Amino acid sequence: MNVNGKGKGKNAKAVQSELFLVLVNKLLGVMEVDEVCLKFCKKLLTAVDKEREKKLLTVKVIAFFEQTKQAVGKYVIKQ
Amino acid sequence: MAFCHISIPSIESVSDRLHLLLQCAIVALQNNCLPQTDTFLKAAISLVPEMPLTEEVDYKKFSTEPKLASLLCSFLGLLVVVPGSPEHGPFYLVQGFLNAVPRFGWNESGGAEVGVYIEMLGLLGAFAQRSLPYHVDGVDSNDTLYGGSKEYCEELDELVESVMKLIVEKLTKLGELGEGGGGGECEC
Repeated sequence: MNVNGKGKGKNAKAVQSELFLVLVNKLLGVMEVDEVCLKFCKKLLTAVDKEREKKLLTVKVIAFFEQTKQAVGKYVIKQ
Repeated sequence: MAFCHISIPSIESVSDRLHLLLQCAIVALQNNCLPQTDTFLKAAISLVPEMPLTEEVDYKKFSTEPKLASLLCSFLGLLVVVPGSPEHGPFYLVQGFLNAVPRFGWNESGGAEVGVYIEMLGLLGAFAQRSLPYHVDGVDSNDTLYGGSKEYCEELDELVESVMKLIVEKLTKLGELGEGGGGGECEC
């Protein structure tokens, strides 16, 4: 991140994807995971997946994505 | 504590002041001095907009965002056990926090501000539990004071809704910054 507020473009998309994943993990951790919550998490994961296909994500974020996908998957099985 | 009240404002670095005010609030709370805890926390909240955007270390300029975000997350952790006010309701400090955070000049493409709001969901999730995850001896926190009353739950729901709205709004804006307003928006 640039102190002058620069570093937009691809960087902003990568930051957005990472924050999507952080949000999904937080929601799984603190919220009652119902159908609406799961749908919301899946939407966020789809958005991150799109960025991954465009090769905008770092290796670290991709690993985080896989980990989050697995966590969301567990909730689907429980339902 | 009186010494801290007087001497902390004389410190030049805003982040140091904020850090010390939080430490003082913790000490005050542990000693069951609730009015002093409130005063320290209010002073800390009022410092957030005053935080400079950058600070110089060894003649190099660094963004203060990561430091501020970290301090704000510590603040949120403390708010779990700080009791609400009988006059202003159970979440008046949370509300004050929510009013102060956007007043700092966050870098829109950095995402640190959204990170703070996401952490806030943890605090609100803790408030929703019948018993809070931790307590301070001798301090009646919101779980004891409000006992999950209807008004408390409704107010909490409203807070969660407004924080989620903020998060979605900020994340959508972040997506618009990438690729000049193109796709990747949070269509939630």
